[in-house]
Amino acid sequence: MFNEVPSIGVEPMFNRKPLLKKQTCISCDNRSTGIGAFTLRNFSFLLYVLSFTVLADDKIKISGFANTGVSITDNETPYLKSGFDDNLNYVSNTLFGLQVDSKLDNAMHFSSQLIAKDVNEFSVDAEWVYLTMQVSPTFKLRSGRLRIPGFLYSQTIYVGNSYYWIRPPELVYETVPVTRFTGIDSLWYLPTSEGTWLINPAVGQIKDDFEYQQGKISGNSEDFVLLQLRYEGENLTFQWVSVTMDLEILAELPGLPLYQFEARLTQHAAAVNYEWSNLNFTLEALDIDQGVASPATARSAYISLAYTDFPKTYAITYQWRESPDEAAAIPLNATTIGFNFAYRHSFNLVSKFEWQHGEAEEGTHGAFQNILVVPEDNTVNLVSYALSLEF
Amino acid sequence: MTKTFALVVHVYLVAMFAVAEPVHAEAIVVVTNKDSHISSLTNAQVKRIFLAKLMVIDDELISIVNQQKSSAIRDDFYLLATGQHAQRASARWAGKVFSGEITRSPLEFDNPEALKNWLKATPNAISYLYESELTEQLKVLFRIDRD
Repeated sequence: MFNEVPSIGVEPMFNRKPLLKKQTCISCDNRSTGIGAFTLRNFSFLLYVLSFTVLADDKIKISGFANTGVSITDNETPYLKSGFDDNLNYVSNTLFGLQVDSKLDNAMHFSSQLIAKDVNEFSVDAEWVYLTMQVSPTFKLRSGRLRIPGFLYSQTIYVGNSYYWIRPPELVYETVPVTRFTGIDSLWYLPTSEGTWLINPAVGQIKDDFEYQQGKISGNSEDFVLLQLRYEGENLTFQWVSVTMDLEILAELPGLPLYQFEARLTQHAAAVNYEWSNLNFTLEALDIDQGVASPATARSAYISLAYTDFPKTYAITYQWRESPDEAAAIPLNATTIGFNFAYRHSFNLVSKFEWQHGEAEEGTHGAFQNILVVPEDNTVNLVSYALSLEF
Repeated sequence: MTKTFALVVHVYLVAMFAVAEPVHAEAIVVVTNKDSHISSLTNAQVKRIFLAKLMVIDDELISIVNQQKSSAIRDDFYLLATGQHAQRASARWAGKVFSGEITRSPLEFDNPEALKNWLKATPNAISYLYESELTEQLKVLFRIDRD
């Protein structure tokens, strides 16, 4: 929703017409061909790791993951949130993650996950930090900064080893870049003979700067409410997630005046995954209603079919997104089709290759990242290679 | 020359098969501590447990213990019990750990004796062994025959 900010009810500011037929990047990532510099923050990160390594015993578990890779498109207009273009982009796929799980006593756990991205010069950010209280075998409470389980892979979006794509389908996952909240949730598991239900209500607040290639967008909400319902059976997984919040948005975008507004956001997402032998089928759909004067609702979905002939996995994924409200300032209508090949080298190392063909609907921005102009060439071919490690 | 090459290849292949690890034909059993409240498991439950989809049985939290990576029994067990390669199943556990839903991946033991000692000392820990490695302190929850 925040990815293409002008879609958030900004009609008074951005008129859909006239949109300039021009291909310019207002302020795309100018480090797309560089390597992040080693900074003091990196050193702090290193010290953090070493300190826990020294302290590590059977009550502290340290694990981590890393992704790296390269992407390039045949279109000079920045594409997707990472701003891929016709220059080799090494930084957007590169990150390190470190997770510390500490057992405080039989019922209490402390967990933290730190993320350092090349695109942010490896500055370290605590993606989540929380305490867990295991109230009973089937019920636990968590409090702190938590990931929003909006989609099937939201909580492991940085862990390339846990899915076969290089990035989870962007037209769904990047439409809602807000990934975390501060508050409390409760995980209530209901095992049955066929599967396990999970009911997870959560409340909290959001105070965050959202990732955005072309500027800074801050969001504040005091009344974040979420309900997650999931079923995991032998072969079938189903998930439904609803989110509501009153969100204050402050957008600082290059070339545009500071813009602030409030929106009542409701978001619903549903997912189905079915595994049968070597086949894996996934369908996820998203519906966002921002409920402002000029509603800029976005709907998106993807369908993916994967076949595993171990250690190789082949997959095909079709994605679709539209802004059904004609009044939307900058429609996001787009489709993509992608082919993936993943090769698992070992328990903790997998390499992936992906080709994606994307198309923005005529006169819309689709998944291109320009704000004020529509791309002259509305098609794009994105080729990516990535390596994902877990340790 | 061609015959010599063929002979070398033939000898090499014969030697490889001669020294190859014998294929285990015996059954694999899913086991737990003999004092565990869990009495038995179904094939579907075993699959869900080792694919990180089932953490509670009979209102008891269970913990999974694995044999060492790349051991023959681990590869065989995951293929037979879950239909998935052990490495692929491991990625699923990674997803659960790095999502924060569970705090750690299953423990691993380098040898069956250490694993058995852990099972004896840990209520509701579940693992798998060759049937010939069973001891009296362990309870069989499920048996996987090889046809």
